[in-house]
Amino acid sequence: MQDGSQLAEELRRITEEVCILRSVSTRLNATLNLERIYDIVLHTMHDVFGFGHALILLLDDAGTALRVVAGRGYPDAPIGARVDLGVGVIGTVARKKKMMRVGNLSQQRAYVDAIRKQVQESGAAGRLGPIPELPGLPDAESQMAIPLLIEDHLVGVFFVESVERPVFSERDETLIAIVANLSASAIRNAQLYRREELRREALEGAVAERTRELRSHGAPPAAGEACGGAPAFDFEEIVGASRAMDDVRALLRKIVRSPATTILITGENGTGKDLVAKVLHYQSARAGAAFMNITCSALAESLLESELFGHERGAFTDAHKQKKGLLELADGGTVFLDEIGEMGPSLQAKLLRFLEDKSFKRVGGSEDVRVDVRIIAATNRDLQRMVREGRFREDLYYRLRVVPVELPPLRNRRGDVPLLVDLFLRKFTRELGREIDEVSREALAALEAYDWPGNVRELRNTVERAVLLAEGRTLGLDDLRLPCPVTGDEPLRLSPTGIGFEELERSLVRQALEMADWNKAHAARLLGMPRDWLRYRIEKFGLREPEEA
Amino acid sequence: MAVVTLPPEIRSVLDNGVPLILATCSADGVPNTTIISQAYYVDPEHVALSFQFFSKTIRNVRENPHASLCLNDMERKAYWLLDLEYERSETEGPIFDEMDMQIEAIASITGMSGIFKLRAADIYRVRRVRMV
Amino acid sequence: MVPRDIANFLARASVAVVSTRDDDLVPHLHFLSGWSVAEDLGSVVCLVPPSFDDGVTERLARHADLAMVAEVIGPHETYQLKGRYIDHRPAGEADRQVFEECRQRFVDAVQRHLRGRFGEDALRARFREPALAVRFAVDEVFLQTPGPAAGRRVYPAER
Repeated sequence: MQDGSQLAEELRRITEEVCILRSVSTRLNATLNLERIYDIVLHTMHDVFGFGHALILLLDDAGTALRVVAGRGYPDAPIGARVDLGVGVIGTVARKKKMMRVGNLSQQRAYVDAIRKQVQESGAAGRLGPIPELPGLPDAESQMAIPLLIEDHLVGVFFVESVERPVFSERDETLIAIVANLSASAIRNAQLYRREELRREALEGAVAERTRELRSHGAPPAAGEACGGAPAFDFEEIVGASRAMDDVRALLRKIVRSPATTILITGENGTGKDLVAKVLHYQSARAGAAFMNITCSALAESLLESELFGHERGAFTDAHKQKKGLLELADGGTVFLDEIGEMGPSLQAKLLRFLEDKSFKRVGGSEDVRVDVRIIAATNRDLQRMVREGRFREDLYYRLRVVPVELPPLRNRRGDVPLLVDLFLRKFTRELGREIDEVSREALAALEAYDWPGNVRELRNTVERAVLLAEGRTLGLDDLRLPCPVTGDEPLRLSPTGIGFEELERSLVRQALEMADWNKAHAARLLGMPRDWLRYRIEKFGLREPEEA
Repeated sequence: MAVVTLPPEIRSVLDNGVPLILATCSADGVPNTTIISQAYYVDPEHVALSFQFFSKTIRNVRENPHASLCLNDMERKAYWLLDLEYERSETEGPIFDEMDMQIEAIASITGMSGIFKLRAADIYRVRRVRMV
Repeated sequence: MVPRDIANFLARASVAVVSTRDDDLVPHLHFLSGWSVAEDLGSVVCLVPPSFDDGVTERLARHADLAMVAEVIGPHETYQLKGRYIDHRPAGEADRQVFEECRQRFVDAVQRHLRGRFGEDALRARFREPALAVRFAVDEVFLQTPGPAAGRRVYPAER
């Protein structure tokens, strides 16, 4: 039984450890820089908790070995050193995906050496394997390794060892495991962010190049004229013979005459909001300038602010240079803000100010930047309700909604389905090199009767898939593979012959991404899962967004 | 028989790395003494010993389940004597897996994979604990 | 009879333990304070400290079989000697020297191979003043060094 002073000391120690772990968690969440993450983790292990020597190893792309990416407490940290899965403490932990502590290593080595010697002396030396070269201290007395896992997917291993300590305690294991688990998510997010950052930089470069090219042509291209092969984005792209679509096109023709007006496009997913935004840009006097778009749900608020308004050098940890945001890059043109309902409150305030003053400050900046940009916003949310619930600013709502454009769901204009089917059939037979002449009456009837929760995008994907998989020259009902709607009363039933679960999962993820036009936040909502889970599955199944033709 | 549990202080003694002595006895009454490198704490009533090479010890406890284990408590300058009773042998499950992982890790760094290998985890119930 | 090489081994061994058994086939362990081989190699004397002498002579009187394991700490060279109890007496002055030599070998071996992990006092305390000297005749000797060959009888040699 512990006495009062021992209990007090224990409590003090626990409190201190909790404070340290909270600080680690906060600092890890504040950065997407891999090197910074390694530094935070290793500093905590080595300098704060005093755990001798520490290494971080990450799984290589082939998934067969780990590489040391950072170390602390070594005279010469073995960066780049390789550990195969299943070899040594690190490799065994990686293969089994379970943490492990080993202690009294000098004794264990002596014990096994005695056995090895006996085997050699017995003439069975051929059975012995080579002694592998592994990173770490040859005279370590204790070691501990923790797998870094994201939903059972191995990211890497965290390793500590000590020459002095004969064994790591359970308490040591708990502390290190908490830090390792916190760092696993941080490392994975940073890896994904780095990949996205590289992709974004490439895209930014391409956009900037294209903008320069357009401006160097002198007068902007005539409305409706394709620029160097780019799509025309004219009113005829908004397909539909229904009254509803006639009204939409008529409204758009009026809007393009006033290129300064802010527009709010509303409609369900897949109704063509971004197409309408592009038509409004390319059919207006702004066609010669850039069209920039961003999905407000795709980035955390701080990153979205930086994307939109740019940042000054040193504005935050990873801001190594000044960066112009989309508003500056689109000067003279249009910025399309998709899923505006996902924008957080502080950014809403900043956007409102821009709409009113036509100026803004870059993140971390003090000077006003003035640009001439038309804002087109879009949402599938009920913004009025969000205003009533206090989740969207009323003043911004009215500022955006100067001209509202509402796109009807496909089920409300079923008469347009045959037109759209014909359009997509011609497009995909050409692109996929198929010879399909028509759609059977049955199939067409089914297409018209279906409710299209994913609207035009879902219809397009359905026709594309049918064209790809059809056997003959007529698209039949079987080629469509229209999903059975699943309601709360109709649970998905397992067939007696079973299913390939992973294949089913892969198919659902791919369909959700296509339906959401690769907007990951939207796709995640369709699947009812957090975004992280979706990202993991995208990586797991090797799904890649198709490049624009 | 009353349930006997290991005192909490035994766990650190099991982890101290000092080799342990294990005594068994054949069915015809011949004692056998051996030095083992490690015993594993399973729960307050059980310990586990690793079975890597088939031996007289293994044979004895399967004929006569009684065993005696002596631990060196360097911190308290004492010995712990545990009277044990062999209960079962496991070749899978969490206890086996944990012991196997350790042995596999050590074997792999000494080129002994396949030779130094856990065949089974022998689970013993604790019948008496004394400190001397 | 104790083979000469085993006698030499015991003169190098750093630690030794004996086990006996009772009427219920329950084995009992006795951590030794010292050990020596008779000059005529006819027997081995084991020095048993008070904490480990509880009932040992009664048990041996009823069941003479015992097993002694000894190890050279470091290389893990280990042998097990099996034999029969002959007699016992209180430990005397002559045994004290044996006790101190064995204890010193133990302390030196642990400090050499475990890099000073344990202090000398703690190590010396592992060997307690002997109370009894138990003599036994050796019938068999088995190799017990860890490895696939552990358990092989070396005396009399296996055919």
